[in-house]
Amino acid sequence: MNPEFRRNLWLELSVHRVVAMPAMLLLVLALVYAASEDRAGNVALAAAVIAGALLGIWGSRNAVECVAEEVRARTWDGQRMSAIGPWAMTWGKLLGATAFAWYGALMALVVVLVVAPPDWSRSPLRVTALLAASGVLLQAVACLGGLAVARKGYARRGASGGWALILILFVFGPGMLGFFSETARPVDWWGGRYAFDDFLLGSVSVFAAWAVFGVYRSMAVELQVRTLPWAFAAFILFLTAYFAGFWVHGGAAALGARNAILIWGLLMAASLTYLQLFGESTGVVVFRRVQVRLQRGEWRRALEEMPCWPVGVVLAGLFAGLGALLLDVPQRADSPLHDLAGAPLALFLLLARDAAIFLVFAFARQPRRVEAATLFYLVMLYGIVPGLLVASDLRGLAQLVLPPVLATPGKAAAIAAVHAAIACALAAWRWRASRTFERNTEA
Amino acid sequence: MPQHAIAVEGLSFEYPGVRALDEVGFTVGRGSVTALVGPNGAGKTTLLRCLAGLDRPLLGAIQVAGVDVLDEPRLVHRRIGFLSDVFGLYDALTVRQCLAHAAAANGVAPEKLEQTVARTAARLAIDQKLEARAGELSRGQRQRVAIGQALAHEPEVLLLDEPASGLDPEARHSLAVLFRRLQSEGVTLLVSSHILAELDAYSTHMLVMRAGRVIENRSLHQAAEERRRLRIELAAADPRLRAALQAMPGLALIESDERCAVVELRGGSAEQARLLAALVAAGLPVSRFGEEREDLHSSYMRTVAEAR
Repeated sequence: MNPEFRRNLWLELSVHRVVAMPAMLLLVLALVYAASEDRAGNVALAAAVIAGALLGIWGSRNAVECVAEEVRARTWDGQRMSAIGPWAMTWGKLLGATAFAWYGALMALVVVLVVAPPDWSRSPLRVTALLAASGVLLQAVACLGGLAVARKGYARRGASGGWALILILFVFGPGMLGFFSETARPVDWWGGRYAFDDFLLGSVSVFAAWAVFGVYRSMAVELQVRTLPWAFAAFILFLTAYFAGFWVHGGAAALGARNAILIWGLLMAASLTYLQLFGESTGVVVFRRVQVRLQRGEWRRALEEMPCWPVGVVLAGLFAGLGALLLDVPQRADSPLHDLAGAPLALFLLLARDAAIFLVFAFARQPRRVEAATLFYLVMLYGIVPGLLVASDLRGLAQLVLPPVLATPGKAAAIAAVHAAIACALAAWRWRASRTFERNTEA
Repeated sequence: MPQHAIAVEGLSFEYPGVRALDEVGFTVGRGSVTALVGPNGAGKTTLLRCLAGLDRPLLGAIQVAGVDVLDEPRLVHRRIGFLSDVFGLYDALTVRQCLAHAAAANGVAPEKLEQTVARTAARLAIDQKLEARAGELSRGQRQRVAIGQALAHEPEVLLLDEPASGLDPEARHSLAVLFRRLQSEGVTLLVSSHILAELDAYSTHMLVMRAGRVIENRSLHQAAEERRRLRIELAAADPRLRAALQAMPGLALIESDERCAVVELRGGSAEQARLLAALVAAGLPVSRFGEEREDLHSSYMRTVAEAR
């Protein structure tokens, strides 16, 4: 048996817990049965809610803690040095740490399948499949968040990846609610029309597979398995294709496949770059290693040592460049979208500026709270300072702080270029300053 | 089979603004017990973490147990055991479960797990505690379980960072006994510690680090062979003692008065016999003539003083 899975089973499945879970389920469902009129339907619904809560809340909480807890208990180095491979560690942790939640949820899902009446509003099989797939998705994303937190060193200070859970619930919550609503409409995607239930189940399953793969890749990095950043690029392209598909149909928002791919490509590359920037190990030590590998002509090793987010910046630049050349915008001068071709360039330059701001803090001689400091300045630049200037009737000045990407994209691109140049110059200065050394100061 | 258990060349490691290891190079022979010593901040822990494949250095090459650590960190993990200075245990698991997990996680076959756990527990004298939870153990017992976890898969090389810190004298003594036994079984040990008296009890070699550099790497026994510290005492004070010693070749006078002297002799037993004969021939009433073994502390202090 997978040693990590077994270790988790020792911790999660005590005799008391194994007995208590079915007893608790039985009592709750008996209460619902006794207290309602549509007994079968309500028992099935209650069982589905219990399964969802166990998988989504309890399971995700355990998944987010599965690495952070080890970091806090100082056992993670031992795990990193073990012979357990990244895949075995991935499923050992994902299924092991959540074993008790799955134990209860599986019993609840069996109740759904057995008890749901034939005229139930949703197919019991689809409901159970969706709940199971959602559980895997949420837990894998939670585990990814926990790994990022552990990598950044926050786990020692008691933090966990709860924010990742909130994010994923925010993104997928509306869709999940839609599943249970009677008015869920068919989905148009890449010219085809799909039943909402089928599309949602398919989407959640595919995203769950990506999330598990993400945990595997993250675990590989932790376990010193050398990897190239192709998976990150592949995920950006997948998301681009997935979201662009919603724009390629005959509706009012149709922009054509090329426009959809260019716009979503830029948006996805930029979004994931921000996520990775804040979730990966980035700093002088990492970039110095990359620099040395490049100087020695060890290109493959340089790519293996490099964080993923620069790949996102490159892809964003590619989509922005192609967007500037190929974006099919209205030619009428009075159209608000007339000058939209400059917008991708402006967005890319703002992304480059923000990444450089992050590096300014990451390249400090004693970097502390890099993410918080970066977030503070981004909030200032995107919200508070331009807001204050607009409120003071200084709109021109506000546009110099927050370039108007959609209103005047060409001008915005020029302003963003100046921003990016200043931020890059500051980062370069910080990099040079970091190259002077002290000796004998290791803790 | 490679000659050295550990071979390091040009190893550099940087923290932001700090070069923790600066072109470190050394070798550690198979079956030796090397004391890794140096002041706080010398780079000992960073070096051990690099050797264990836990941290990636900026530059350099590391071979441990014949495996390139930078190319094959996963493979080297199967051949070494590492005890961090800030180790942790799974407090909710029993000692038996802790050892079984460590063994299984390090590739011990399932059918051999029970036997491995029993053997490791006996080796560490924790076989009476197998059913106790790790969280209920004393500091010394926890340390033993942690060492047991590092040893369970029978590694060729054992890296230990401050293994005796926080242990009482009795526990330290049994740790020294264990390390000597491991050495006799052919395991190579590299042990970092601030407690030099403890290292003295089992070390065969000394690796001294200072400011991220190795300033000395030598066999403690070889040093005794090449350079002996002798203590000479006379039955009665004799003013000729100092002059007689100063006139002898290959001898360094460390301290002396009219009745007693400590000298450093370059050479082996033959040179030692010649010196005694010369003193007796000179008519000095030698009442005591013997080797004064330089302990690790003195050796370390001398090395550090020479490096300054």
